[in-house]
Amino acid sequence: MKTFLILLITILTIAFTARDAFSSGLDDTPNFYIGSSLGLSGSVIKDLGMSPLTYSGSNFRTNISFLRTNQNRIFEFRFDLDLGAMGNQFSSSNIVDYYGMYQSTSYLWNLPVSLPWESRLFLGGSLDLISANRFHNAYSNNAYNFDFTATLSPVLKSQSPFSLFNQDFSAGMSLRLPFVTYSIRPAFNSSVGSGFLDEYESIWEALYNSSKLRGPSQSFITQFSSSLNWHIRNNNRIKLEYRWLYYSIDGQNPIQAANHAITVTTLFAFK
Amino acid sequence: MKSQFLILLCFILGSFVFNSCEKLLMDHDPEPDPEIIFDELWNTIDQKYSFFEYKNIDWDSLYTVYHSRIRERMTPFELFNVLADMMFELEDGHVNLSTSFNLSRNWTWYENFPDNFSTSIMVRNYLGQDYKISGPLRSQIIDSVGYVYYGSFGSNVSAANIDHVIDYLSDTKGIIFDVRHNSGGNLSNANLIISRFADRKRITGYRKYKKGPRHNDFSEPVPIYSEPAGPRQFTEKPVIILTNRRSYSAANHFIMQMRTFPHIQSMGDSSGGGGGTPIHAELPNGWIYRFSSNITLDADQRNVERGIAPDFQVAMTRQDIILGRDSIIDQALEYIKAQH
Repeated sequence: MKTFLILLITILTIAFTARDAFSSGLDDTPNFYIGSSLGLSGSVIKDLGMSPLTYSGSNFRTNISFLRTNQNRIFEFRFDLDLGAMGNQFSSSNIVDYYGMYQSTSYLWNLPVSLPWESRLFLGGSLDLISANRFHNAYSNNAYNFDFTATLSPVLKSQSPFSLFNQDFSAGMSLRLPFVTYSIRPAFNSSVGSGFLDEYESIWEALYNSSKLRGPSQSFITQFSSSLNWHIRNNNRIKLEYRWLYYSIDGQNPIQAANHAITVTTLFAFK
Repeated sequence: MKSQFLILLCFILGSFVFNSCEKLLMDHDPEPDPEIIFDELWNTIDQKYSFFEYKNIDWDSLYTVYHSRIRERMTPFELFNVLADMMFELEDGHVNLSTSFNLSRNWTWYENFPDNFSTSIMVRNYLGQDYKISGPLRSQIIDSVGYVYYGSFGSNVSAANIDHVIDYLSDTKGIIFDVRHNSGGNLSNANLIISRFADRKRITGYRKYKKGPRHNDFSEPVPIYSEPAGPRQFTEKPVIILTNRRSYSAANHFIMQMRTFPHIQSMGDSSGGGGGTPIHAELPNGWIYRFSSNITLDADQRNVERGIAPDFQVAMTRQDIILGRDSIIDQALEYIKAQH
């Protein structure tokens, strides 16, 4: 069953990405964008496999994205990377290096509803992969700590065009709520809290054995983003985006984590 | 214009509303009061420390003894002393409480024993001035016998370092590998060196892992294997490892594994022990502590937590030190020359 789920998630990821990244147009006037961004993010994490304390810190955020959009559909593939460090409220020397990777593939359809301000509403689905890696500098043998989740979520997104100072803008907001999550959280992450290191298992065995399919009550992952697009020449865009991510994984070494990111993206349009 | 500002307002508000959402969703940190800190430490060690049975420690009775010293209003220094005293009872060099003002420790594994080593005698009268330095390895040829000193497994050895040493000493009558005063470090350094002395793949020890909260909840012994690697091995001539009470942790592990090979023996004093892999954890006030999390057994399944007795017990006397002689190196030289 587990092997089947791993295969299914891998195939879904590839299928979502390949089909839409390389297909030839969705309808009359599709626009294909390639974007890259720089920004900052802040992370907050409470990982009982690492510490009973909450750690927080700032990260450097970068991102690449592929966006295909028209009046009726939006397809987006994006990969975000966070590099940073976190600490707790008590000690400036208890530093945790943080490497976060977020990959998201979403596909949305325009809902035929009438909204004010020429706004449009999209509904669709998203597959989000999160790999959060933490390295505690004050620890040694159990310094490395990580979790991985793959979540299927329904997504609701709004887009509202407007003009300001004779320039075209659009504002967007989207919300994702979890449907089902596949998580990996091996026991060798733990030093405190419940659970044991299980070092008699190989790393691969531990990864495999810890993998689990969870519903929203066991693994709650939600994302909200708001963006401001400035439509510049040749349909290119500059996007200011704020993204908030929260996730929790219950179980042997529970995790609660949040991430706020502000990025500036340049989106280059290709017909 | 009104609608534009409303849209912008939605964007800005949306960003800020979620900014503090996790405060509602995330659990609060435990209060850093002495009672909670004490219980967190006691409970974690109770469930995860690996040598209660081997050392015959009554951890429950220690709770009673030390919990009675916990007061609601204690200074950090007072609290540290209570926790440090309780952890001292574990008689384990891998058990420490680390704060910005002090580090608790139990170093009786070497403090109550003779040194059987003098760095200055070793450097001045044996290594001399023309010894080779290959990374952290210092090597010399003394009376046609190779001598290598490795002072810390925390100093990383590269494959090139150990291969240079093996090449340099390949024509000698044997090698003396000195890990006295080596208090451990990274086991990968030990494994790299062992691979250059291994004649074939062998079981060189076992580990038992904690797998439940009770003091005797362990896995079955899991074999530790060592095998040859690299371009050349030193397996045809005798090797003597020099040990003393300050050969601890990764050095203890190294001695245990090396002695499994038939051409390798140890000489000097018993090693200091340290057979449990230490893991770290944190208390609700940010203090870091560590403790042994598993049990290491030698190839005959003997516990090595309290050290490994040498094949040849040799001690340095006061007279040796006055004369500038390292009698342990001297005896190792004689032994190897006699074998040739």
